[in-house]
Amino acid sequence: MLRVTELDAGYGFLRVVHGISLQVNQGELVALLGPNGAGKSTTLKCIAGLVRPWKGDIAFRGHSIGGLRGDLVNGLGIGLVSESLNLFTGMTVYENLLMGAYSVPEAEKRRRSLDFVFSLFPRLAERRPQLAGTLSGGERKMLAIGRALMGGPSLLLVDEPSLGLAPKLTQQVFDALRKLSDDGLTILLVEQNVTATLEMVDRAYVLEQGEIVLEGSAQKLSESEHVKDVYLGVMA
Amino acid sequence: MSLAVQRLSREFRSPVTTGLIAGVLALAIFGVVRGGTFILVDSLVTGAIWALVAAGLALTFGVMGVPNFAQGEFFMVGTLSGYLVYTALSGVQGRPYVPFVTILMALVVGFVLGALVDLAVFSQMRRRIREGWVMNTFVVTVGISVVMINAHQLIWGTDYKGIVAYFDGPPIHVLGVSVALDRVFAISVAAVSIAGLWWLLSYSRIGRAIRAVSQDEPGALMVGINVGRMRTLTFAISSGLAALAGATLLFQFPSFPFVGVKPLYVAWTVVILAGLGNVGGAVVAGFIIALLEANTGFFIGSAWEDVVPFALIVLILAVRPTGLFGRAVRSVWEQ
Ligand SMILES: Nc1ncnc2c1ncn2[C@@H]1O[C@H](COP(=O)(O)OP(=O)(O)OP(=O)(O)O)[C@@H](O)[C@H]1O
Ligand SMILES: [Mg+2]
Repeated sequence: MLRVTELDAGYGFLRVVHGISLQVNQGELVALLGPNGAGKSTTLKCIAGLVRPWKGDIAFRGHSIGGLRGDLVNGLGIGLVSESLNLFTGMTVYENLLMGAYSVPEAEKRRRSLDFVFSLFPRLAERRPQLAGTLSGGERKMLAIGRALMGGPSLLLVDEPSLGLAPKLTQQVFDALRKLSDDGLTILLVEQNVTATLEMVDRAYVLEQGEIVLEGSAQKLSESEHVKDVYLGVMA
Repeated sequence: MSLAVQRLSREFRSPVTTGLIAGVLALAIFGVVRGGTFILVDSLVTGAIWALVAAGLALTFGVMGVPNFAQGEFFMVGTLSGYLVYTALSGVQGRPYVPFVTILMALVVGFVLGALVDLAVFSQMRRRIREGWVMNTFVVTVGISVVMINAHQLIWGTDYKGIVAYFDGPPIHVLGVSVALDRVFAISVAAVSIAGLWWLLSYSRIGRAIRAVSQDEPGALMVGINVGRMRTLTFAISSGLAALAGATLLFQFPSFPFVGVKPLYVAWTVVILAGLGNVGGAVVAGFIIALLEANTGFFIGSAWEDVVPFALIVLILAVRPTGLFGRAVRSVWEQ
């Protein structure tokens, strides 16, 4: 469904992603793991059209989308939950969700998405008239995921949903992602919480200093010496 | 509706703001009691028009980060197109629809010209400039203003091109003051436009998208909003409103190359007072400034009309640097 080939990207003169390739198949839940500054967010932003790739190709359903503007990428069915969430803080929860469905013309479809998001995160339904800027960290994260879902994406990119959340809330968000994946949504998830992520995903890539150093099934990675050493803190 | 109430209550959270509003109300009552109701009526008419010009300025700054020093020239374009259209329609003058056609044409001219300026200038700058956006666009808008003033001078000359009045019927009587029909017309046009702008920004799909861009640009891209188009639209709306104001006030401001200078300064005063980028605040502040002007003009002398409001603003900003309703720069309505 998504195929990234030899992607180079960076800011100014600084290259932070060095020729990475990765692939996400229909219905898969795939993780992109790696330490701070590895280039995970940059990769997601390239796919979502927020950062322009320098080289390489990004193909979505067989069509090249590299360098396409973010709003057009969204229109093709790719939803992004960014690291900083990028919520509309001066709008209510309801308005934020409505904006998520900005490019969905059918009112009926929007209503169904809204019901779905509210059933996934009942908390948001309670907070419907509240300004997004006054939500708690956990609620914000739910709202960002909800907003991305409102567009009815076929591929969801999620950047570090566990960031700044207590373990219990992290688990809640992970459960929601797992449920979405079980319902057939294709998800590419960026995470640093390696243990919990590897328990949940089908496959994963490990990105270090802009290069993919490991890839494989979740099980294969949990057993890898490198992952154990560096990410799981287990002495081999 | 609850949203509007929520917003309003947030505006009045600060004691300084509440105190100032109370002060202005007191001033209004004082002016009316000592001077006459005409002060109130006067302030309502000019206040409504200042609000219109300033709302556009606030919108441009909140959404695009452009401090538009050419806004007065779009007012000038409004007076000019108003004059040209009105004189071209001289054959059917006296028909009640003529003033409406005239100001609508001015609105369209301002809107289209604004869109063209954004496409030709700001869209191009956006592709190239990474740093110092506000300062660079500031200088560019001053340049645009100079070009427009000189174009007017070159093509239409420097003489006053004005009209006596759009309507020649007898004045109507409100609160014991007789108000010329043109003033009634002006305040109605301003009220309808401001209400329309408020509805557009609050409840329409496009208005929400404009606010989304002002609150979070990457967020707007992420939900599929064509950010560039929203910016062009914002500049066009703002220019259109200024031109509409110009054409509506043609009886008071005959068109000439520099007619935009006064509206520009007043609009900037209003916007700074309201807090940069705050559209709702700009509307309220527009009336405050007009009230100050009218009172100063009557009690102190019309030469002081511009001085007193400016002095007061310096004072207010010393106490509240973000402006009356401003929490911080950037954002339309709220922050
Ligand atoms: N807008 C930017 N301008 C300049 N450099 C940037 C920008 N965004 C990121 N970088 C740099 O690019 C590198 C990779 O950043 P990126 O955000 O992709 O890392 P990450 O893997 O997501 O890290 P984290 O886990 O901390 O979020 C970092 O060194 C960062 O400083
Ligand atoms: Mg990151």
